[in-house]
Amino acid sequence: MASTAIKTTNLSREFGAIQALNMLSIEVPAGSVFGFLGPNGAGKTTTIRLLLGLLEPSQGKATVLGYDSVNQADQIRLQSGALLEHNGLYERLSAENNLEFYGRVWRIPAAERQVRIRELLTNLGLWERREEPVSNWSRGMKQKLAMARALFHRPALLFLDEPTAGLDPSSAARLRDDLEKLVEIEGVTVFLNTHNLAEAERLCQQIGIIRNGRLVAKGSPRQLRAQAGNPQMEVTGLGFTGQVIRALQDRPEVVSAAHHNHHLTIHLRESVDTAPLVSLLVNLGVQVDEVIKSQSSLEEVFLSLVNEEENSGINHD
Amino acid sequence: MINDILSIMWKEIRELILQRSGLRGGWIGLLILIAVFGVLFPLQSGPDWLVTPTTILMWAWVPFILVNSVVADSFAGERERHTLETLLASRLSDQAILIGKFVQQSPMVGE
Ligand SMILES: Nc1ncnc2c1ncn2[C@@H]1O[C@H](COP(=O)(O)OP(=O)(O)OP(=O)(O)O)[C@@H](O)[C@H]1O
Ligand SMILES: [Mg+2]
Repeated sequence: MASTAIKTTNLSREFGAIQALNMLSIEVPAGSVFGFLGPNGAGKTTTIRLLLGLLEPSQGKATVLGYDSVNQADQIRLQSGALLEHNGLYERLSAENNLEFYGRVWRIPAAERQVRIRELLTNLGLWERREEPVSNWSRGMKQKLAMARALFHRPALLFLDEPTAGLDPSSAARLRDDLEKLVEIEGVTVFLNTHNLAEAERLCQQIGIIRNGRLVAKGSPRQLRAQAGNPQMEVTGLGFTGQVIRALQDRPEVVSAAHHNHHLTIHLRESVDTAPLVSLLVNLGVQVDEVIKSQSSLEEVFLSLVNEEENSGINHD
Repeated sequence: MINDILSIMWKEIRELILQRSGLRGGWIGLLILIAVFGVLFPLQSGPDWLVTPTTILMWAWVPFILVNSVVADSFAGERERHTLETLLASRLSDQAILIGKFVQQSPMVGE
């Protein structure tokens, strides 16, 4: 499946004087996870609303699963599952009835509904508490229930607005595992708004970084990291002679090499395999104690992009 | 469509059973209507009030207004509790949601 699940062209939306989304053009291949990152108020939630046809764009266009988000939103919603900004649970109803209601909404036959509710709640470890009104549940428990509701009808496309907000680290990891499986096994496409950079790095094939309604960067986590700075290699050991340094500098993948006492720092051109460099060092008589390969993290990329934007707004050079 | 309406009704009934405050607004509306049409106007216009066709027409509107206000309350409630957007993001049409709420409230008010 190489088709496109979501495609937007200059998608824009303003609220009065606020330009919540400004000329967004992205493409999300079917069967992949697209991560949308950005500071508060960047326009992430607005984008999900536009894609589901809950809001109309003031300019531009979005095609989701081949349907136009304005004229054919019914078709989009029919095949999508959504966990929006608010969990959307009926607090007075029990957890079981919340799922039962949405099972009916999705026209799932009664027998299948029962099985699915049991399966989902058991998977979350919440089956025992199914009869309690949701208002008694903790925030993280509610978030899990809302996630189960979004998955109930096995949608082809999932919109998730900060799904791990409020989850403890192990529950969050579990949800990521589950999502990964869904994408791998069932080929589900996921549009994920998140503030969790590790989560984006772990799950997403493509990431878009948005600020003040404008997309400031787009690419795979690896591409984004490479954009922010080159990887480097730190070697600790003995025998860093001038000959060793010169030999390293002759290598095409090495930008620069310098040593200080027992530490050697090699700046690399891109993420290359470092094993040949290590054997080169060993062949030249270096006693290698430790090798650390480092790369700027996605967090550094994110911060630099977001701050860069901030500065460029102030400086006019 | 009928199925969708029934689904909404299923949920509305359960929410109402668990907390009847949704109807309270409706009853207050009804009391005000009775006070105005049944007490205030007759007192002002005397016995004529009971036999004019206008009166009958007025009374015919009462249940409609009442149902309307309860349905409006129900929507406002969903918006307040942030459940409406998720419901709108489902496969249900706006009409099914509206009719579901409307049909469910009507017999309750009629009782
Ligand atoms: N219904 C609305 N009316 C007016 N302004 C709105 C509305 N919805 C969003 N906005 C504005 O649009 C901008 C983008 O909001 P949005 O909710 O999309 O941000 P976000 O990226 O989801 O932020 P967060 O990370 O805090 O959830 C904000 O300035 C917000 O105030
Ligand atoms: Mg948001």
